[in-house]
Amino acid sequence: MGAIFNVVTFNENEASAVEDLFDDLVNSGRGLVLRSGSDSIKFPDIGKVVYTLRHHPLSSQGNVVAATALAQLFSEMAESEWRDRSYFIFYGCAGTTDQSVKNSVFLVGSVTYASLGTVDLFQKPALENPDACAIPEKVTLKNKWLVHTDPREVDPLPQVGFPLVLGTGAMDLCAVTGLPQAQTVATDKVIKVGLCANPPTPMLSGPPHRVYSKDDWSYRQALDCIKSFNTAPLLIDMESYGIGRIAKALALQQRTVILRVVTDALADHTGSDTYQRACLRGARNSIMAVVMALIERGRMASNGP
Amino acid sequence: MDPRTLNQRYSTGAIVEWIGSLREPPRRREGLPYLTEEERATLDRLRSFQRQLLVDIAPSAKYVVGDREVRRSTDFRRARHPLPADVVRKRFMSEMREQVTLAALPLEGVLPGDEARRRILRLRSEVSSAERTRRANPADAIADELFLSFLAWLADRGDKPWFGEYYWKAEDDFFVSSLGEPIWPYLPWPAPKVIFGVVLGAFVVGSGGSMEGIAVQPAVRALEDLLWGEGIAVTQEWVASLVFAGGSFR
Repeated sequence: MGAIFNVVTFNENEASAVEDLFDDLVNSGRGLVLRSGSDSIKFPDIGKVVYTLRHHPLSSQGNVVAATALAQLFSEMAESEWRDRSYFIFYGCAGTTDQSVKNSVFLVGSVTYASLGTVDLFQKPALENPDACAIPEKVTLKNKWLVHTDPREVDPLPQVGFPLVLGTGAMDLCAVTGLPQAQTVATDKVIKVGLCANPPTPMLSGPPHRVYSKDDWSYRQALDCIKSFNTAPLLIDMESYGIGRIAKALALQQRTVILRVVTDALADHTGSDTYQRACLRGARNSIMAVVMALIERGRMASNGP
Repeated sequence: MDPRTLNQRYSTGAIVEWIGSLREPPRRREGLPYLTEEERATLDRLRSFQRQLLVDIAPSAKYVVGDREVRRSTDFRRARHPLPADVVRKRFMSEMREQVTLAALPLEGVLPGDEARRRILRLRSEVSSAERTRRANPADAIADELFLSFLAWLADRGDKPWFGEYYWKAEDDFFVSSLGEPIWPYLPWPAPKVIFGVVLGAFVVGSGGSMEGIAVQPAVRALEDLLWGEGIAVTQEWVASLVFAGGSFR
């Protein structure tokens, strides 16, 4: 009996925050919290139930890496009795379009992927100087992957939701923990542009959905558009979509949670590495907020008649 | 959540305290959404008495579920309860008052609304989990619904207004989803509803110490909701007589 909480981090600062959390709990735990190998701690319930927190520092970033990590963790448990008692908590930093939420921690409720697009030169190279290296590049997003477009070529990539956070699953983590929900945009680049507060105008506003003129959008336009989908704070990260898609494919959505600490404002990347480390360290107990809620839920379920 | 709020709510000390509480008997962990063994036993006893009451006081009831009609056997009833009906009734009411008081204790504390609501959800899931039994035994279904109704009324007396609101909003869920069809039309009028009134009255008087003016209005409202569509006019006098009947067993 018991459960394993796999805590996954992407960079050194995030990993350091988790290690600090484990150290805190072991040092302050009055012997209730024990080390279990270098990357794990455990604490027992009444009886023989043991809960384990296991840290998986990836030291790399990106949607593909995160998705792979989740798939690998799951496959390694394939033959294990722990497979059905494992949770996956991703702890990482994020950027924001809203300065007022810097340093805060959020649960990711839904995520949109904004990455598929075009890289082009701002101008064609001159005939007399065909070397184009000095010419700036222009990166745009194909809006057909984000929204329904006219003419219609493809369906947009679906937004992925996390039921435990949205309250559509076995519990409502936001309500239980008090941690607020955010919507995220997952990209594969560091975005240093903010909103322009002028979302693209749809050709049709629906129902069943908005339809936009097929176009190449700037990141600012894309963020503006996604921001207009709902009122939750908009965060930008580089992993949540990969995590969400693989969690859905493996039917792990009820056991996957993403925590994001806002360490950067998009248009103002003045935050230092030290600041990021401090933010992540300051929010490290949010991991335990989630763990506590999940354990309580498990105890309620096992307490049933 | 900003770090200050987070670390106030989830300080390392509080987390360690919580971890420690996992090793303690559940009773110590006030405010958490679970039922202790003691509470569970209380609720089980309460349900058991409700079922017994239905057997004893509604002897001629016809229970209909879907297109199936079940008639309780008089012989069976006598075999189980040889005591005269009024003795059984009296014994039941005495026991019921005690059990109900015990069952109400978790709701009477200083639980914040959300936590208390979670506790109610827990109670609800307890009852829902008996769905298989309900399908097989209509008396169980009725007993459970009476129990839920009673809890709803109990919490709706004014000190827990959130629960009343929650309950009535969730009425469809309770009465339709859990059984797959509405239950109230199948109740064998009037026995269980009158019983409900008597139980309600017993508790009102039992908990308040005086029947004058206390909780009659909430009781009227609860019964009006309960009897809606039955063509029964719920008057204060009628409720007061139920209250008196219940209280007379005190």
